[in-house]
Amino acid sequence: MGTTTILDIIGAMIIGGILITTLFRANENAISNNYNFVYELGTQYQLVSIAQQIERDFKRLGYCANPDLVPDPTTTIRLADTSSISFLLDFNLDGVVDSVRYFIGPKSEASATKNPNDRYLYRIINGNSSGALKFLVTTFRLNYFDALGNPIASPVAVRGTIAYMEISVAVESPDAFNLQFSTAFWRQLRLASRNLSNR
Amino acid sequence: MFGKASLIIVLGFSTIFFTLNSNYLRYTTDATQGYTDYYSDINASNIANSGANIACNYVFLNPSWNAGLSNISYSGGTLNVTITTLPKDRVKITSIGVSFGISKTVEVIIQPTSYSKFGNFYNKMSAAPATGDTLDGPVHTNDFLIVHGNPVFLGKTPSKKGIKKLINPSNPVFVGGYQSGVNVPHSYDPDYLKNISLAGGKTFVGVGAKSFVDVDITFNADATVTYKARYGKNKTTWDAWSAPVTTPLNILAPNGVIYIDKGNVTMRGTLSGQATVVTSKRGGDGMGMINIDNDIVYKNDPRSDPASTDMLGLVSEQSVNVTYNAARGNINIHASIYAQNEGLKIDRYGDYPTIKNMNIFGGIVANDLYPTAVYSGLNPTKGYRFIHKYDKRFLSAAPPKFPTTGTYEVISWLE
Repeated sequence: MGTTTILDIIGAMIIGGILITTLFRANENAISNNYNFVYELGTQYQLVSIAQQIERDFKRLGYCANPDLVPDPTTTIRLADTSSISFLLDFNLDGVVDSVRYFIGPKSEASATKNPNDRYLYRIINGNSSGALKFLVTTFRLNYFDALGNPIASPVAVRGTIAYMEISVAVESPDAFNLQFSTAFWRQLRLASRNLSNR
Repeated sequence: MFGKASLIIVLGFSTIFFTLNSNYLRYTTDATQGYTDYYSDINASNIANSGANIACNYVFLNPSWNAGLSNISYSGGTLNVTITTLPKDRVKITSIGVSFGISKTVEVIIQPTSYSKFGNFYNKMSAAPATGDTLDGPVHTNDFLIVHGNPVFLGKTPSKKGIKKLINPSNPVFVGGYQSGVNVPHSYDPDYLKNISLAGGKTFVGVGAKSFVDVDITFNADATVTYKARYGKNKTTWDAWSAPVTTPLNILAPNGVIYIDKGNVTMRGTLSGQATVVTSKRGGDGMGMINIDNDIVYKNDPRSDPASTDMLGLVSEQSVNVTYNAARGNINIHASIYAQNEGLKIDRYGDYPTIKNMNIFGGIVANDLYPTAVYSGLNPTKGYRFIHKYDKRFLSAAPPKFPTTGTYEVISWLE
């Protein structure tokens, strides 16, 4: 084996090493991008789903198929603070008034995910926690305003003054490559249920 | 050899990158698609809501409008509206908005606004709610809402001209919200109510030259009414009273409307059932008044019996008066009261030796707010304290044919 051969082998090893390193790097980037895109997509869809669910329920707030059962809109909202709200709604559109409660749980409940910030947003109908709907979110915040647009301090003592709500929801992916979690944010600036101003 | 390997490597990498890039592009497009769908959803919902608002406006302007709207181009989509009539004079508006193939429906139910829904309604305010006063139920005035200090308004409170504070600081509390610039006409149609009473109620009307009529009514707890009447040429010259007659309320006035044409009525008792007592003035001097000389209450008080259907309306073209009786003590009135020209008045309130309570359970709709007591400083000393509690049933129900404002209100909005 001559010097040339040795140089060829060394050169081949260097070039091969560079190529393999490049391949590993490309593979890592591909995996990273793949994770990010998949989680980004999932996060976006999850946020749209949560937003549609919240809008559907909150816009119907105070509705009943039998309007005579909810004669006083000032009593529709039973509890209101920054992280939870309870209100009356004919949920099944069957003429029976139901109680709907949205609230956010502690971070410890979502410990199965790798995201340390996420927690469950619950929706409970008529106090039936076993049938609760729950979403993974990182932020769920409610702000309240009166008919003149003035903010109302939370928790709201006189719920009848609530005319508008600002709802903020943020969602992050439950897992991520290198803990780079995908994030999506939705805010409804002034959501007003028409039923709050009935009669 | 080296050239072939390079080609394979280049082609291999290109294939991998094209595949990955294609996937990334699809993910990005899908993520955007989620928001596009959300936008389409919101746009369809907005179109449907707009259609419902447009239809509400048509009905408010013309209550007989039922043509609906068909295939109207609106905000990048189309809207269709249908109108359906429901019992209790209610109207259902169904509006369907379509945007980018997504359809959304809004259903709205509206009904004529009855004056009975107001806890307090004053066309003008000559007196002011003050610190310590709590006004229960919806409040409205076509004047300035005059306040003295910090009264509490528990219901929705619109006024036409805004708020006038007699002292500073004055911080009224609006539990049900406040709105300015709202005008609600204060009028009713005596002919309409007379026709209702002629069609299935009881009508007291003078005969010939004796066109004035004076009626005395006692509601009995067994769902009967004892009444008598007398007729006259003017407010001072009367025939003798007729013999008292006792008859079931639903026989006397099957539709619940008891109408006194160009006359007055004096009443008291315990009501079992539903009735609206109406007096008209029709140019008769001193006529059109409802006089209450003792308690007039429901047999089943809805505060203790929520299933109670007992309901009384008092509709006066002139005024509703609590007659002077120094020996009477407290007085309880369960009714929604409407007075066109004046309001609820206490006769000779300054002549009472002490202060008593006037407990009103229902509502007051009047041209003006009148004093009921003589005050020494902030304390009433003679006459009657005005103690009002709103009958919440009037938010969704009304005494028989109680006057309406001529406008509609939304009672249900489903989207």
